[in-house]
Amino acid sequence: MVRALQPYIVTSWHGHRNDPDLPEAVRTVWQEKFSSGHKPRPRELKKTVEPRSPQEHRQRQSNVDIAILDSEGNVVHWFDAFQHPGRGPQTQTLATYTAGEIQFATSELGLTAGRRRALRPVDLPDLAGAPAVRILCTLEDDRMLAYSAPTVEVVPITGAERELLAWSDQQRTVEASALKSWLAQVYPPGVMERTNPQTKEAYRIESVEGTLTLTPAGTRGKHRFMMLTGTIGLTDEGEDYFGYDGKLELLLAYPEGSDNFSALRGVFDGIYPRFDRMHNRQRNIPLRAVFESIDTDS
Amino acid sequence: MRPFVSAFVVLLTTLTATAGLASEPSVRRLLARYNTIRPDDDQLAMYRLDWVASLAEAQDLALLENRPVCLVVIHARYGNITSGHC
Repeated sequence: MVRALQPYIVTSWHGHRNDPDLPEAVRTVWQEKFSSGHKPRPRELKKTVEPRSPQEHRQRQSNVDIAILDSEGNVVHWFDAFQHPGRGPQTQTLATYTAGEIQFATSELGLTAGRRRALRPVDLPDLAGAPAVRILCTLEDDRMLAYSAPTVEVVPITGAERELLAWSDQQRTVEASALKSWLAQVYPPGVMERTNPQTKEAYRIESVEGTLTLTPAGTRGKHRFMMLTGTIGLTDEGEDYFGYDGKLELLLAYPEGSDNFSALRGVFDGIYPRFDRMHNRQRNIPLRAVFESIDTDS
Repeated sequence: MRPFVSAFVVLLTTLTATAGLASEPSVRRLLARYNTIRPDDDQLAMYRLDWVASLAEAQDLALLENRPVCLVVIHARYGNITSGHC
C-alpha cells in the first residue's frame, strides 16, 4: 500500500456533514455515500462477495473514507476505508483491499501503476530545525494489531528543561512533572475505552508523577554523560483517574565546556492495563517508548 | 518534515560509539534497549508517504507539481492521524 501511494500527496481532513466549511471534495464523497448507497467499483468485488442490499451496505459503512483527487481537486475515485470483503473463503486483507483501490485510481489517472516505484526514505516529523524531543511509543498488543502501530510525537525543548537537566558532577533528584511535555506523549493510539465519547479524541495525559535521579555517568572523548532514571506514573484526563506506570531511563550527553545537553536517548518500559470484557479480566500489555533529541545543535 | 540534520547523525554516532566503549554498564544497557525498542523502518512505513498538514496545502502543492492527492476523510470531530494518536 505504501508503494501504491508513492505518487500521491497525502493528507487528512476530519469533520461533520453540517460543517460550514466543508471542502468540495469531501462534499462530493459524502453526497454519494449518504444518498442511495455508494456502489463500489464492480471489478474484483464481483468475484469475492455477493451483492449487498442498500440497508446492509449502510450498516457496513465506516466513518473513514479515502478519496483520490486529480491535481485540480476533482474526485476521481473514493472508497470506504474499512468496508472491505475481509471475510469468507476469498478473504482479502485491509491492506490488499486498500492497495487495490489505490491502484485502480492510479490507472484512472493515467499514471504508471504497474511500474515498481522507489520508496521515499522514512521522514519522521520534526519542528523545522528547532531543538526537540521525538517520542516513538508502541503498545505491544498482539490481539489488536492496529494498536501496535507506533505513535510519533515531537515536542520542543525549552530553556527550563535544559536548566533542569544541566550538567553537574553531583547526583540530584528531578521531579518527573517538570518534564511533563515529553513524558505525557507516552500513551497508546486511540484505544477505544480511553477515548472521549463526545469528541472521539484519545484522552491525553493529565498528570505525570515520580521522582527521578540524575546521576553522572562517565565521560568519553569530548562528551560527559548523565543518566536520568526512575519510575513514573501517568494518569489520563478521563473521569475515572485511569493510570499506568513504568520505568524511565534517559541518557544525556554534554559537550566539553557546556552544561547544556546536546543529545539525549531514552527508553520507557511500562505496563498498560486493559480490561478484557470478553474474558472479564485485566490484560497487562507492554507499553514502550523511546526518546531521541533532534536538531539540538541548531 | 525534512531529513535529519547531520549534527544529529554525528551525535547519534557519538552516543552509539560510546556505548561500545563506555565504562558505565548502565549506559551500554540503555543504548542497547533503545536500539531494541525503537520502531524500524517497516513499522514506520507511513512516514514514507508525502504527508502534508492540510487539504488546502495538498491542493496547492498538487497544482504546482501536477500530482494527485490521496485524502483520508474522517467523519468525526477529531482525526489527527499524522502522529498516530487518532
